[in-house]
Amino acid sequence: MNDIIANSDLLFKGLRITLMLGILSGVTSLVLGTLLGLARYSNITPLKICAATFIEITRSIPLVLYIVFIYLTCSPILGQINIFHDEIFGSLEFQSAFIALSLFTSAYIAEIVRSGLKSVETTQIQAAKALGLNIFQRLKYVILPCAISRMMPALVSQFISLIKDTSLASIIGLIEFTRSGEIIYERTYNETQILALVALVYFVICYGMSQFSKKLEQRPFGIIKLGF
Amino acid sequence: MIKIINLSKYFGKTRILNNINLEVEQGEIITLIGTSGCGKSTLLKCIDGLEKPSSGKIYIDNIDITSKNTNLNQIRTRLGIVFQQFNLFPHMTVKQNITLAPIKVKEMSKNEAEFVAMELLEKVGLLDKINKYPDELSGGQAQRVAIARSLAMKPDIMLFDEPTSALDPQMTMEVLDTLKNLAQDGMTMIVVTHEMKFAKEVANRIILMSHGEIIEQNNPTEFFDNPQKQITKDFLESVNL
Amino acid sequence: MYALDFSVLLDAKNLIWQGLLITLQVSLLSSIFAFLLAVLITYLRDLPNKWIVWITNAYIELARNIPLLIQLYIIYKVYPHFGLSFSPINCGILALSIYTAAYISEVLRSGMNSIASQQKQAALALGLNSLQTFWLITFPQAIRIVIPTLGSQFINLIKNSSLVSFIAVVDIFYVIYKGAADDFRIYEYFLLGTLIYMGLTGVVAIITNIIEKSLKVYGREAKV
Repeated sequence: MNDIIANSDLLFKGLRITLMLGILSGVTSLVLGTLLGLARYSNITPLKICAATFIEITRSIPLVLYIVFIYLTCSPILGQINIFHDEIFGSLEFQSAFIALSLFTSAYIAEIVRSGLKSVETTQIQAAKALGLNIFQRLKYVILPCAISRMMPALVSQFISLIKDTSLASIIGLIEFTRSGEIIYERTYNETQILALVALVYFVICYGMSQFSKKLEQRPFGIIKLGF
Repeated sequence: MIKIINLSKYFGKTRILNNINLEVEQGEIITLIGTSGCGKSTLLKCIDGLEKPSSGKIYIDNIDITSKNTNLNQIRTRLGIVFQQFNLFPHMTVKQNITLAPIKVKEMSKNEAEFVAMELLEKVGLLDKINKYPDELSGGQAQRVAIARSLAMKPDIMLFDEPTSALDPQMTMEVLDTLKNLAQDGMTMIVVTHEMKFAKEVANRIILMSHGEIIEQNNPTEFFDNPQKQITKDFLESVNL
Repeated sequence: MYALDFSVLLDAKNLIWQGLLITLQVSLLSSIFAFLLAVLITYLRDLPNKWIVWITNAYIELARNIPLLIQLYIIYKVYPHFGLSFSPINCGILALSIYTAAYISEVLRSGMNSIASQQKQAALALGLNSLQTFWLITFPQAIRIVIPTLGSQFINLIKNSSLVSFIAVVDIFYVIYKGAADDFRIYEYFLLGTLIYMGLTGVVAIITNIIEKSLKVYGREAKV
């Protein structure tokens, strides 16, 4: 217990980085993934091919490979740009991990978005067409709201994966939650308590999210408010 | 009003419609009957541009809707279609379902659209359901809302694709009453249906289809009392009037 | 301008080959163990004993909500304190099996749930015991339905096997990473790495497809 209390500063700092990395890449990949998913769902062939190529390649390689590739290729460029002077955001490790996790997760989100779009019944789309709605109106008012409520469970589980995946950023030396735990037990040799605590914290976050997702499933359209 | 010339439709190699020719005048009420799979629903969807014909032409008020240059969305505001499975948008209230297209397509003001919605709901007897969601409605109520949703665009022609076949007899009555009221108001209507009694009472013309072709068409009295073709006789026998 | 030079890969071909073999070994063994464990869990979860169900559910939630890397570290660093020491590669196989089994058993359960409960009742009514019912009636039907989803779990497992490099197992990812960083031949190595993983996951996708086509899903023809 003493080892944990004595090093709680480092653990909190690590947890903060993990959460920030998770939230920032989560939001970015949601935007990017939606655009990619729409591109692959569209009828515009070049757009479709580009999106599909990126998605398929990304989905077939391990995340660690992605992270180290981005780190090795982008850090020279990121080092020159050097826009953030913040202690956390300014580090090349954080920036590389953020880029890698965002790109990687967006490929998975794109597939969730696409299958959500495909799950909207043709009869619904026909009804919208019959009312004279154009393609953008159909997407905005009919297809996306239906698709989003169906995508929610898969999206939440993708974000759970993302939180777990942030632990892999330790490979490029980012001192996020896992790495901070590692540093402490390398110093104190108290692996049992520290890893138990780290595991527990991840569990509480991820399990909490999955329970939240189950609540959402019980009221399919509860999350969507429509105003036009 | 509607003029169909040599219309054929294939799905892959399967022929659904074969050389259909049909003219519909303003104010006419036509019922399309026939066994399931005879192509009646596909014909209806072709008229609304939801299915693209393989060959042939469809004119709505002399505008060729099969031409690439035609703005289908514009034509569709003049046609209303009601489906067998209602197809209300599940994430919108009754009011939102009805006002969506008037606001977005006809650019009606919100107040005006809501006024129209209330008027129409009153007409179909569902004003009290205005803020309900589709899953809180019975099948008959949902179908009447779907009819109100189409009417909100003030169409000149209404198409009905088996509007009562997903409903039990009581609800069927409710929906058919709504259709009769529409007919009395002088709406041009094409109704695909299995309800022979409705066809007999309301329609000006009955068309029997079989295997993608129009077999026989006539006014109700002649059609039921004096069928010309053997297929018609067999069909009338089978529906057991 | 960066000039691609693939000769570095030829120089390192022995290392690459060894790394590939380790990745294959870890993936293959973990796949087998994970599948067997998942089938066992699926059977246990279907028993009418609430304690067994509670324990299996707890296992699944723990395995799915803790990062694989942490589970790997726990097996590698904490188990020895309790007298359970494994070689790094076996730690990797164990962690991957436990982690993946939780996901596979969720997939299998969704398959079981889609089998009408009348099937189970009919089998029990005929006098089959719970193991016979599971093994002869419900499980064979369930597995046919979930084969595509199952395939993607094995694909995830192959990708996740790269985590063994965190405990100093020299798998293909480790070889690629070290080669890229040490020789400064980032693009050559990563291109090779991408192709290798695409190849491996592609093979699993093809096998899944073949199995799916060769197994008929009973009672499903009419529904299309």
